[in-house]
Amino acid sequence: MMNTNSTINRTFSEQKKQEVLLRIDNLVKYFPIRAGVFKRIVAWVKAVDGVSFEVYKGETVGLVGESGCGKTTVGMTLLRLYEPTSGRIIVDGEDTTHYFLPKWKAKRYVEKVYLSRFKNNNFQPVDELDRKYFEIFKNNGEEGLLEYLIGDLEEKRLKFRRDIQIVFQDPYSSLNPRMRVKNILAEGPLAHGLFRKSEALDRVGRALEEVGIHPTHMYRFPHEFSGGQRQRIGIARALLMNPKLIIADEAVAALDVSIRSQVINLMMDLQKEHNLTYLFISHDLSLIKYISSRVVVMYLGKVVETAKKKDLFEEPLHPYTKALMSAIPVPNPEYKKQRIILQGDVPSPVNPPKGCYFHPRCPVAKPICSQERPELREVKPEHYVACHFPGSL
Amino acid sequence: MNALQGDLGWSQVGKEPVLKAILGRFPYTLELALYALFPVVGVGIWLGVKAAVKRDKFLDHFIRIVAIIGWSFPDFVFGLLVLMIFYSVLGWFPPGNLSLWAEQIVKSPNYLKVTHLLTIDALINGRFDIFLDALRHIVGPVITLSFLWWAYLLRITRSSMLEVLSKEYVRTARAKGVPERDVIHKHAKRNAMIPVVTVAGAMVIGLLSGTVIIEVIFNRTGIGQLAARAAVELDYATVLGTTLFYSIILVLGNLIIDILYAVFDPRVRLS
Amino acid sequence: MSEPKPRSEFRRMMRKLLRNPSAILGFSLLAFFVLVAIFAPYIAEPVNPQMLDENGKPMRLDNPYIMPVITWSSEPIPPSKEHPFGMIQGRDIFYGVVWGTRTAFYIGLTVTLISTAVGIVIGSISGYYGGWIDEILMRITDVFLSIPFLLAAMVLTTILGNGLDKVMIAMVVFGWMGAARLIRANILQVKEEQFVLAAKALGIKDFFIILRHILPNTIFPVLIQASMRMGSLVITAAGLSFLGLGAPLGYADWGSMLNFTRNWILGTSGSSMTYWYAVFYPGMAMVLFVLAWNLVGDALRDVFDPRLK
Repeated sequence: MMNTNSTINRTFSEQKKQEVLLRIDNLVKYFPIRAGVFKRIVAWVKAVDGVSFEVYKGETVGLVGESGCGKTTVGMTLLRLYEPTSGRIIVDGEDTTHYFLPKWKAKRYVEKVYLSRFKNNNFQPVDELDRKYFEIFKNNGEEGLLEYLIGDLEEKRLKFRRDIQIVFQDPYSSLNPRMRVKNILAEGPLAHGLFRKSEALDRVGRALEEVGIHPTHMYRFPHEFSGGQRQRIGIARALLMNPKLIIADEAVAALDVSIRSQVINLMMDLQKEHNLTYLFISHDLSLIKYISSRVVVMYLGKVVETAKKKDLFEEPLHPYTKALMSAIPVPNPEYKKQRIILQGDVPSPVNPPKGCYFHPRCPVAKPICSQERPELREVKPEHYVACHFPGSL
Repeated sequence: MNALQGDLGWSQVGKEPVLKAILGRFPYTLELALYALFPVVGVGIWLGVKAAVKRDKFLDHFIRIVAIIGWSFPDFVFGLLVLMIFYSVLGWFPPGNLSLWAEQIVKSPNYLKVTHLLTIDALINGRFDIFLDALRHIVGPVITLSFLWWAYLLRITRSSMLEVLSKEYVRTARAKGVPERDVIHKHAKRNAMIPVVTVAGAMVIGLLSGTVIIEVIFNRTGIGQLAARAAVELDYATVLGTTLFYSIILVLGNLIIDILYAVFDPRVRLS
Repeated sequence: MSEPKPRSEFRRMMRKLLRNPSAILGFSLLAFFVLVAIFAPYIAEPVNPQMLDENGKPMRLDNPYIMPVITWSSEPIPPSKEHPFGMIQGRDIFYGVVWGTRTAFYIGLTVTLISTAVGIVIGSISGYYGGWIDEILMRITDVFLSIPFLLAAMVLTTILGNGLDKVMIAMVVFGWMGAARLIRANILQVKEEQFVLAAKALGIKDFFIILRHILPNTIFPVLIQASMRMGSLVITAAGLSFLGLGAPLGYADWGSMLNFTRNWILGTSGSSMTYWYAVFYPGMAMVLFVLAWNLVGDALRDVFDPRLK
């Protein structure tokens, strides 16, 4: 799938040999606040403010942060349930950002992001996507690239919908109360022509079996199931689309602790069988620690730290990550640890603080922290931190 | 364009410019609506609170049944019944604006017209007999107009009161021993009024446009009757003019209600 | 987060409905009117006793909705064995009341169905798509709402001309706003439910999302509201007929029959209740018809939507 060029300079680490399934590039999502008679926009909620990370095939990435940090918005924007304000969403080596725009807007996007730069004589590709699209531009011209990127948009949309699925948080509101489980599960695949109507019962039954629900229950309504069972149905719904990536948005947060581990284990089993990739969105670090292979920590719409799980939990470099971790309960009364209690509340995403977003609550903030915003940089191999003084806490 | 300058055309029904015809008749309609407003608001809210407090008791059922019957009565059926009973049978409340003798005095040039409302002007002129005569003529339409709308207001008040009475702060008030009277009047009633104020807009529309049919039945020369006559005689200019006039009043009425809303709901005031 | 209402409750609701005395009264009244409307040709035979055919039998009416003129005396005639409700303007009041039931159902159902459908379409588009579409549609709704209904209907009927169909058009044009607002508000609520987002993530087309996921979860309050509006719509239509704008002269319509009556009452000060029957029978028919719908709507609302109580 991937262009061979793309992996050339990435051989230094084993992890990076893996193929990138999803790349989020500087994703921004602002929500307008309107007021007054004319509903003028008076301010913006900066829910997601420049987030970048990658998800490799077959891995589980944990996206963690306090409630209100924008992690759910990242998920929704990824799925294009919200249109991103700016930034790119790259799936399987193709830019998908413009897929859900009307054609004229999609064209404008391609012109702005690619064509305007490609037409410049001094153009230098900055990433593999540039290289790939520039190749097409050189060989087939402007029309060729436009056709490649915005031709058959409807088909591209459908493929995108098949490739990325979501499992929601609330097992009560995530299933339509007036539809039978059979129809809830078959609706998507039938719309995509993944199987014929005559096969539907068989396929739905098998999917239910796979998530541990008796196939004869497919004629029931959602309210006849428990929370854990409903969540399994939600997983089956995603699974039936043969997705490459499943976004699990607090998928077990609403469940009882005893049921939680069952569902988690089910998801991990399914991952192995179907070669799935997960993006697990959660506020629960212990859950993240249990399932993910890499972790992305968000604070106030920005990524503050990202690393492999082992590195992150052994040596958190950002003061915020460290504070979060000190809050994980450890089931050992002998174990004495220093708890870091953060002062104050999360600042409003409408008016984020100047400099580092975390500095008003940071126990080790220095003057520069309130002036300059630290960029995400690779402090150790594959360990990225956005902090002026990483590891100082 | 002409309409924006106040020129609404010539009214064939009124035999005068539309605007003049409307403004000349508006006081009669206004007087009727104003008089109807008091029984509607007073009785509607009072009974609504009563019904909610006595929920599912006999009184509540009785009030609800009367209200739903009242709400089901077409205004012209009720108006005809009122006219039949109080005019045909009892002879108390005749149709029209005024008796003939009073009309002649009112039309005379030295009769002061300050407010153009018949009852008020009669008092200003010190003519108590004319005041009584005007009152006699307005009672029938007022009964008819208010009967329908208090039923509406009662329902809203009752349901909103019931909701408030189930709120935590009312329970808290009861739990800490506040007398039931104060619970209802100080804690519940004021909060229950908020949705009531919001439907006041619908009520203003209802009262004002309700005058159309009632003025026809009771032969009062307000703008409602003007509109009805104009509609039958296909006098577009007059019908459009009156509708425009009603709409303007309605928009103004809603504006006033928004302001009232802020008075009743401190949350709105703060933001 | 709240547990959605499951369907197995349907039975329980029906039982609750049947325990409510006012609901029973409402449904029985409605059933009565339905029967009267269906069997109108047998209850009040559509014949003109003044005109006999060659066999000496009264001739059938071409249009049963035009009340036959039986006697040329226009003064109301009190009830008798032949004409149990009396006569007015030479026409049998009983005949008018019976056939007027059909007129009432026809007007009420047609206008309610069409205006509710229009409201649902506009409200759904507005609520589902939001943004500037919503903004424009809601401003239009506001404009329509700022014109008093009865007057608006009067304006339109003067422009279109008199007649029952024109009145009905006018009532549809100015009668969709309530349903539109209600469905929009409900959709705004349901739209953020996760099962709708899930359907979007599955790539289901907007049309099917609205049809399969949103409307089934929002339509109940709208239908209840529609049944409660039936009553007031019939009143308005009759009111227009009463003013002389709706049904043509002599049409079997409760409102226009009362229109006949008005002049007789106005001219009779002090002369007791001479013409009571001319108000009472058509008036009662209307009141009971409207009451039936209001009771039914009220009961449905109590049972299906306790929030609205």
